[in-house]
Amino acid sequence: MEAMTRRRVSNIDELGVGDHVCWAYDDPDTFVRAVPRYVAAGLARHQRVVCYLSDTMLDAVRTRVVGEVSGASDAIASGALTFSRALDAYIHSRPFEPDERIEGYSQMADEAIADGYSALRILGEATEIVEDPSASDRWPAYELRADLLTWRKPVIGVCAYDTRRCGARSLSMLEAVHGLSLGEFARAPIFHLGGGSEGELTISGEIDVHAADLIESMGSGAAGDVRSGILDVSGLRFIDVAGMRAIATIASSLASEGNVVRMRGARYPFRRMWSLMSLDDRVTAEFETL
Amino acid sequence: MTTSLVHDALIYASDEEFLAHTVPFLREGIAEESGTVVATSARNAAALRDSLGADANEVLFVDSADVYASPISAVVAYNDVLKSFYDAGRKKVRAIGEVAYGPSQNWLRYEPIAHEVFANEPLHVICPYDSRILPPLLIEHAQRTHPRVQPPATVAFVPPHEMLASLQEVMTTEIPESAALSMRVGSDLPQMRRVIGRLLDRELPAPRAAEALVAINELVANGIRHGEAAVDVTVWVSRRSLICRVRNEGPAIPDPFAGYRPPGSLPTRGMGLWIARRLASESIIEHDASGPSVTLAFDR
Repeated sequence: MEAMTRRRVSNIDELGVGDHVCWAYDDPDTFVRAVPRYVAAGLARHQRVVCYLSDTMLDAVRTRVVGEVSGASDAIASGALTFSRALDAYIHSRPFEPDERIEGYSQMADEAIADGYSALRILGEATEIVEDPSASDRWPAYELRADLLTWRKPVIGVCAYDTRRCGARSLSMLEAVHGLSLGEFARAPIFHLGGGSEGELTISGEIDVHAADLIESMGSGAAGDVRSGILDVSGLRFIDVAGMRAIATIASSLASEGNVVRMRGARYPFRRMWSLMSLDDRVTAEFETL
Repeated sequence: MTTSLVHDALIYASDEEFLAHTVPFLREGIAEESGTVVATSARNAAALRDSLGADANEVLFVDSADVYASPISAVVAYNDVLKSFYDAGRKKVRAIGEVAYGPSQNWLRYEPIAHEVFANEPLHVICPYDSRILPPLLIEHAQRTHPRVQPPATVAFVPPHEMLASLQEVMTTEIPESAALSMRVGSDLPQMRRVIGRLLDRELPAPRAAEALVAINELVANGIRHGEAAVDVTVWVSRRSLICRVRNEGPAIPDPFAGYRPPGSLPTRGMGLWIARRLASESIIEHDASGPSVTLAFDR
């Protein structure tokens, strides 16, 4: 079995529209020093830049950006650049609501374009959010939906996590639902879920009983965002019975959204297992080759 | 009306006796609009067609050699036939199923397995046994594995669980003396797949290697989930086959019909074994004092 290729970036400056990065940092100073470059790249491309940060970082980062990025003060004044408390934006004294957040970013992206910007560039320092009890279990599923959003709207997203506070397993799950990763992750994910250029949900890597329930839950939760009905499984290197059940459940969720389910790129023995498990009795899927 | 399995045996000693019971049975099925299917020898099939005349067009004749390639293939074949009849709107099915016994003693397990896995199907099946050519052992076995026998049985019916408990599966694929690989798996399935996968890729054609990895992974995952200690995986390679045994310490596999129940009726544990049995060329389950072991053979 081939190892899954990790999609890594080494430079926060060189991101383009549609990039959704999971950034694992172990030194807050490294994070604070890098943010001005991310902001500068966005302003240079006439993007609206929004930064969500923890209380402890907010002032330090804003001061650094204003000091190091030419035109940052004017950008703040004009609304091209904003800084907010992450907890206020995501939790705001009530339980985290993924639907509200995704819809909010979608509208922000539309507004940025309407206001003449080329894209919406987001930075979210999300460590405190994943530590909140109302968000922690739902966060990976939310990040998957955010990834799908970056494929259908002009959005660039960087989600930053402090590795000293986020466990290796949690970070691995988060990396699995971002298109790109930056920094050092103690545990590489063996599967990946994300979007694609045709509005598909892509599922790749190895899916087995240890992750099948999580994948089923995340994929089904994102079904409403998979407008094309396409499940791209061309990158699957291994799948077991539990994984096949999870995919069938995700396919059922897509079908219940009114989609014709198109299973793209299934490699042997996926189709054979689909037949042996009589999954056609559960959901009808059109199998397409790449 | 048949709402669950009726499983009859017909011990016959002449062609006339065979036809005297099977033809009216099939004609009644046609009249009541049951699905009707026949799996029997070519000679008996020809005789049935002649006797049924135009009614033969209402009957599905299937190739006995295809159906009875192995006990699991027979279960699959009948399950597929039942599904296709149900999809066509048939509410019940009548079958003539003359088991083509292979040389392996594992074939003695087929009738109790079929009796169990089809127990809740609206299926009336007559299993003919030709006493002219079958050994007395098999005739007695037919009497013990069917609640109703024509002519009436001289020995008692043995419930399927009890019958199966007395018939240990044996592997007919030869296992070499030396193993190609032995490993203990704690909980790291990806690592197991990497190690075993390399061997499979080397020894089997790509599609077969992929099937074998799926099957072995299911067994190991079951062993991790239900066992009490690490899982032992042993692989042998012969000219004809790759054989893998997965053994764990812990409770016995509770269902003696594990791996034989088609998907629709499965408890959660059974699906992995069903897939493993379907993908392997041969499969057996054994128990010793310390726990279960499942051995799969994959012919090249």
